[in-house]
Amino acid sequence: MSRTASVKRVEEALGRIEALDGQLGAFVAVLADEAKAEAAARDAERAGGQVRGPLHGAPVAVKDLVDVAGVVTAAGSPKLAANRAERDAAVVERLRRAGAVPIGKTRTHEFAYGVLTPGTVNPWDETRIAGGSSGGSAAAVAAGMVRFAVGSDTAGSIRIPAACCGVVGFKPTYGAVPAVGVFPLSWSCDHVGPIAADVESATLLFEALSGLPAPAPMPLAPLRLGRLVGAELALVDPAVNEAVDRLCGRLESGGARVDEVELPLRVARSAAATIVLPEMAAAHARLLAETGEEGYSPHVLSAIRLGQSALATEYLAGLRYRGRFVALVEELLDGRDALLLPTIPVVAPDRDSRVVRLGDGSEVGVQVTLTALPGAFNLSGSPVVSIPVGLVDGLPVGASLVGRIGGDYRLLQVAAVVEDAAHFTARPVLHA
Amino acid sequence: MDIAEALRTRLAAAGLEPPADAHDRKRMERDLAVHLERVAVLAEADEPLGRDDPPYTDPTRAMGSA
Repeated sequence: MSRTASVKRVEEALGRIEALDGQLGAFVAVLADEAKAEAAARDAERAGGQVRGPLHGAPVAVKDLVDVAGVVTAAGSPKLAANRAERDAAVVERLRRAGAVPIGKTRTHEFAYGVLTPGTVNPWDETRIAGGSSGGSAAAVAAGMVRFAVGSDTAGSIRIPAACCGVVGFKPTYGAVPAVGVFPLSWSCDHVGPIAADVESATLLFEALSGLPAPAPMPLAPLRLGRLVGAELALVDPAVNEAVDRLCGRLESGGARVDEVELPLRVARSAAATIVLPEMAAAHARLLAETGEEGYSPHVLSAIRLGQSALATEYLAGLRYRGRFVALVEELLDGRDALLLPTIPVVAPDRDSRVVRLGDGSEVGVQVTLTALPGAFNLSGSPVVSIPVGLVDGLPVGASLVGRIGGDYRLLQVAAVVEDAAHFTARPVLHA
Repeated sequence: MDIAEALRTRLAAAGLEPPADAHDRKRMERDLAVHLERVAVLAEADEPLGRDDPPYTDPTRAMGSA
């Protein structure tokens, strides 16, 4: 990683944020003074021979769902506009320990329950959504404001904006990165992880966030990938499928073996959703009791009320299906390095549209559409990394690789090979 | 199914009422319809859940469960 002085790197990032964020809306708070002070301290350490690690002095953006001491965690809601964090979330503590410099808080969809991230636009086309709920983090990375950002993911909220914005998003194995100090949406489906400019950067950030030392890279034999196919993927736009086809072609030309496999994604996504609603209701019970309905959007309030009135048997059915789905995913990974599928069925939808028109002419809600594929793997807790693999109509397409539970570094190593084959070098054109 | 009635019944059981605003009520009815469809999809999984399918709040604990 870069050995450029931290102060210089932070000032460059602040300059780009200053120049571009008025049009993109990626940040809700920029910690300019604090970041400059921390950067100076990191430079002093470096001058004294102390380098904490590869992220030493690197500016990192943090989703506004994650506590940074002394800074408001609003979670995208006016209800928490005065919610100043007393201490750092566990991941922010770890970032600081690794020498990284928190440079600002990035915009999230309200309480991380949504894929639109209103207020943030897609750097590739400002008429399109950045995706969500970690839309600010993905837009900040796509626009080159930072190389590293932290997101959270309960039904795709790291991977969806990563795909929409043409950057790398990594949802680690459930529990590999601590969620302490992150406003919960659903304890058993929430994951915290990196959004980054490339797989190498995502790997470095994951190492800092997880505290798991990266093993020495193992030599990789030609990849063996299982491409998900079947009725479960019928909602995928043909142009998006073609971009993944081209990727598979390049991988096979390089010696990879790609075979076709199936998973009951719709059942798994349904199971995850039956878990999220009651857990969300429980997570909000105290705030709702203390502050009432005012300040919640109708969208979020509807989900909370439906969670409050969901049946215990529905919740348990979701939790019980989890074991089945974990077994199915892990079984498919016997003899394969990863499973491969489009991250989302379409490219970034229009900001003004609340429905997506699918290939068969049907219209489906944006949130239901974008979470349909990634949400299944919040049930299994599997590590999944989304990487940009092509463009459709000038907008990025993301492909996801699913790995074994606990096989995070191995998956990232596979992703680096796939990233190389995809050779995605396009960048959004931005004018300050 | 009368989704408006289903919403009223569910909310009443939880001591709640449907939103007074018609637009918000319609939204909640649509959200409930999506939820019930998902519950039905789960219930119609290829093999019904049985006594050897315990609930897992931590997916990593489900490794090797089946």
